[in-house]
Amino acid sequence: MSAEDNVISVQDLTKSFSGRTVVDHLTMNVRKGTIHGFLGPNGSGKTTTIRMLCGLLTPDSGSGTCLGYDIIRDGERLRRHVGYMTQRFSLYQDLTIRENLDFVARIHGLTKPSQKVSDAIERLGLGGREKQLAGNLSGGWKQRLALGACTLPDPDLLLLDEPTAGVDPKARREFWAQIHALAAGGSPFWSPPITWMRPNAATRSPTWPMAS
Amino acid sequence: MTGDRAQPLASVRRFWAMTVKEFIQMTRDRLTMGMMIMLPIMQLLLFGFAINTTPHHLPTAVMLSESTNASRAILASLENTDFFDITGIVTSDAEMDRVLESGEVLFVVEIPPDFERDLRRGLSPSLLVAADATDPVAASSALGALSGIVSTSLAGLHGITIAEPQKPAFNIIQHRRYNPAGKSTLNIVPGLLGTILTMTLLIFTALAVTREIERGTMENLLAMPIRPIEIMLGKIMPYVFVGAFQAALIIASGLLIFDVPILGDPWSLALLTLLFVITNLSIGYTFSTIAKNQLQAVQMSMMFFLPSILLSGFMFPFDGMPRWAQYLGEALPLTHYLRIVRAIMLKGADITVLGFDSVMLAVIALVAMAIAVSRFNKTLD
Repeated sequence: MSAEDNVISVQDLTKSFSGRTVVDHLTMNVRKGTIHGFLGPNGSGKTTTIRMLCGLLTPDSGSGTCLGYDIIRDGERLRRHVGYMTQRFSLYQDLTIRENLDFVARIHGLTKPSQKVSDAIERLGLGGREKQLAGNLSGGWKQRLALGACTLPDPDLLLLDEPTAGVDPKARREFWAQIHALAAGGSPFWSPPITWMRPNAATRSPTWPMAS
Repeated sequence: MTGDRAQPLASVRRFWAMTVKEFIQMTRDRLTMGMMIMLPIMQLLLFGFAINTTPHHLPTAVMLSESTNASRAILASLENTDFFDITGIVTSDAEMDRVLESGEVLFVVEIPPDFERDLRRGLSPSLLVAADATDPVAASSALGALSGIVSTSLAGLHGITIAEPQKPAFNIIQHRRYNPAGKSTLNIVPGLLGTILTMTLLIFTALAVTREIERGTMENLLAMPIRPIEIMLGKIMPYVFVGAFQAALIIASGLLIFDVPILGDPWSLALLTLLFVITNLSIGYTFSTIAKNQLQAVQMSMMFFLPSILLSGFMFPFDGMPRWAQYLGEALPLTHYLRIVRAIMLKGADITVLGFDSVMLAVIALVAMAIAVSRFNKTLD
């Protein structure tokens, strides 16, 4: 397996917070075009790992690349190509769905941002709600909006941090249906490797592909 | 995958996206919007009418040892000036000490026994005025007026000649330029313009970064390809408009309500006010990048605001401060803006004679922005 086949390749990543080691010498390689689940109980370092992978946290030691960019030095360029959905809803509660997506589209410098935002709203089934404030959405709809925001710029890698935590089972099923629809080719140029993280329950559904 | 072409220092497109986002959030916050408009007006009216550096109607007691024409004339003339309100009569030294100590009165005028008789005999009797000088400003202007008042009141009395002072070797002619009537409002209102802008604008941007951190939106913002300089400019921009609007509101109110003129070039005033607005917003933003949370950011703004009003020449004369304090004052934008705004509004100056202060404002703004951009944490570490 050559290095170019790896979308994520990290060696000995270590990170500790105030003396407590949260990630201890993590080495992993993830191939292109695969979907991974990343399992572990609360506090096992999943979020810290994901943040290091997209350059939001600097590891204490170790090194690695993500999409060919050095995760320590190339954070800024790396972020242009990674879609990261945070565990906690981190879009603006006092902006509407459309305003949030517009902001993301324009920060990413997308061409025809308005058209792409409209397409995303349609694709995610958020039509008719676009003028609703994000803060007034229920948990499931917030997750959809967050997914819409991080997939909007056509990222090459999608990192989802517990995307369905705190969401009811029906909304959870719908969310994963969305993910599969997206992965199956919502756009012909877009079939990213998806890494998601979900504690405990991930193994219960056989429909979630677990490749590694 | 989009190509990794060379990136300019800042992208106008991303800056503008940030500006639009901040502007929408600002307009959604009704309470803040209302405060932005109401606060400057309320403060201008409150302080503009309240602050008076030549106080009048100060409570005064008299200690009378005799009731004569002379003493009655003095009391009447004291009351006729606006400076003194005679609120009581004391009869002993102990009582005099008590009313001064308790703060019932600020002045006690003692007319000693045989004052009129000694006056008629040309013995130059003494008139004692005891003043509560714990607040020197309150006491000094009234005391300054006292000697003239007494002379005038006695001049009309029959049989008393107030000796003409010897003709001095030279005359001193005073011109009180730019504010001949000595009106406090002419000094206070332009000062308030700078003070109110400093206070409100500092807080606006001091909350800019800490708010994103506390609401948890910073993680998403950092995960996007936006640069610290774009975030900073985008967050400052909407408040430049707010600051300009507040300034216009205060200047117009000063003109209409307090008759404070703009004798100089209004365009110079507009331009330098805009610069002052940007300088304050930059400083507030810098606090925001240093503070850990919104409370800290507000505390930092207050720590900056207090020296601004005390050392800038707003409250006390700048040139009366010791040299080290003056150097400190030169580092505060309000100091320079006060000179600018007083010069333009009251003295008829324009930007050409205000080079130093204008450059200082720009320098302070650039230093603050440089600190903010370098302090901005691009990761969650």
